[in-house]
Amino acid sequence: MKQLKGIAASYGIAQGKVRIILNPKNIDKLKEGEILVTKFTNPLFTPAILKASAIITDMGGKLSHGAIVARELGKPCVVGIEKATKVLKNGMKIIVDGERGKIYYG
Amino acid sequence: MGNEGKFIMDKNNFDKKINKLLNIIVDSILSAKSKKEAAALTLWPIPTPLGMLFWGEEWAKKLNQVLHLIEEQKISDEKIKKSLKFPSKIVHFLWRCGDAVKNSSLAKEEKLFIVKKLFKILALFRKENLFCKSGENIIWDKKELENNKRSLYFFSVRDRKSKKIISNFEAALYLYTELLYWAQHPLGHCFHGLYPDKKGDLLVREYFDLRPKIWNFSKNLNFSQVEILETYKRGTKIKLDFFERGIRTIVPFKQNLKSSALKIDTKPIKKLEEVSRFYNNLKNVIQEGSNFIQSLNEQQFIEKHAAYWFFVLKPLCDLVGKDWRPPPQVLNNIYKRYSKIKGIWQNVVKKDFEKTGVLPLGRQKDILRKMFDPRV
Repeated sequence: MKQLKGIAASYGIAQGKVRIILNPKNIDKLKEGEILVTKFTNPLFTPAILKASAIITDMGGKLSHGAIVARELGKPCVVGIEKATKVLKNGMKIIVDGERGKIYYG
Repeated sequence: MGNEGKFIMDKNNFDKKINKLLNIIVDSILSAKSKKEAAALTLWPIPTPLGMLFWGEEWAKKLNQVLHLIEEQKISDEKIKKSLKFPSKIVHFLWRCGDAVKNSSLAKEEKLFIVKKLFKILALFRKENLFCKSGENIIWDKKELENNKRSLYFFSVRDRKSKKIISNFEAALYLYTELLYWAQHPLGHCFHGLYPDKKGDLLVREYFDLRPKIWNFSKNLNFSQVEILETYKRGTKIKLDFFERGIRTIVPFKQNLKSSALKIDTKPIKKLEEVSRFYNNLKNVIQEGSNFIQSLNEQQFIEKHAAYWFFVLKPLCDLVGKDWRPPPQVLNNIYKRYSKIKGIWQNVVKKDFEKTGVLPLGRQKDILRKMFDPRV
């Protein structure tokens, strides 16, 4: 399997389908249990964050918005991957390892 | 003047306090980003520095004026504490001393007067541990803790279901305060503790001002404040944030949670179904709010931001009988000088921030420290 490495932001492992959301206007596209992949979260992503099984962001550190929120929800989160929104594709099945900061895909 | 006043008036100690404050600001900014990117201050739709260009000057002047009136009217510390209820607004003002106040046209003496006064008010809440050393934010004494615990019902969270219901509700509350107050979300919450207790260590999460008049959608929320007491296994290392922005602990700590108790408005919660009901209501309001905010154009959105920036001054304004609302100059800036100010943001300020990302960490720290230092 191929890997992407980022910053481990919230522990836990999740497996699910990728949903890339670059514009919060499209948050309705994310279905319960899908993995939210975006550049950087902001409060307009809230409904999607609540439904997602894990969060992946291109930008951000351990105390960035997505990271803090994921820890509160107890959902795996990897931030600062830089190219997640480019490499991952909608519907792709991936594994998010929030403890090691790794994404397994392909 | 009490002990907390003495250190404020001593120049060396005051300088040390400002240095500590700057280190915490810089640390907060840098820990929100990965190594290569620029400071995260520019990432949200209405980034703080952009807002500052519209209203920073007027906001700083208003804060200065109100703090002077408080001094002149000899309003007691106890009264100030009572009107603010939580330290989160004061720490928020302290961050603003590094941007809005620093960059205002106020004289240096006035800027330092504001910082001193705010440290003094903060000491009313946090006593001698102003900077939350060791990640502690202790604002209740034993008596307050006992009073608050007395009527509450503690749910054991050993089973997955109850843990999930309560965690989701908590996280949604946090997200909701962000939807209301964006980067200024501590205006709607305060986390404090840890308090040693018989059955473990207590963390208190208080959410307030959840139905501000600024946002119409917030009217549909069935409650306006929530208090959550969580008991963790003794020795669980939970670090709280000086700026009350959330929990800084990055290792998992929730598995050490033993029990949770909730009070919604004034009502202690005794059944999990009630939490689920409040959670569903909250989720609906979040969805409604998110839709509404996305329907605003950028100018309307900025106007809302200005409103809650000034709304935070309300408790202090009320004490001295001043109107808290943004002065006409702020609205004029938004209506008449929008394109010009937006241009300054895009062509100057944003570009400057973006440049910091490629510099070595030490250099980034130096730049940010200077950028926020009210003495420079």
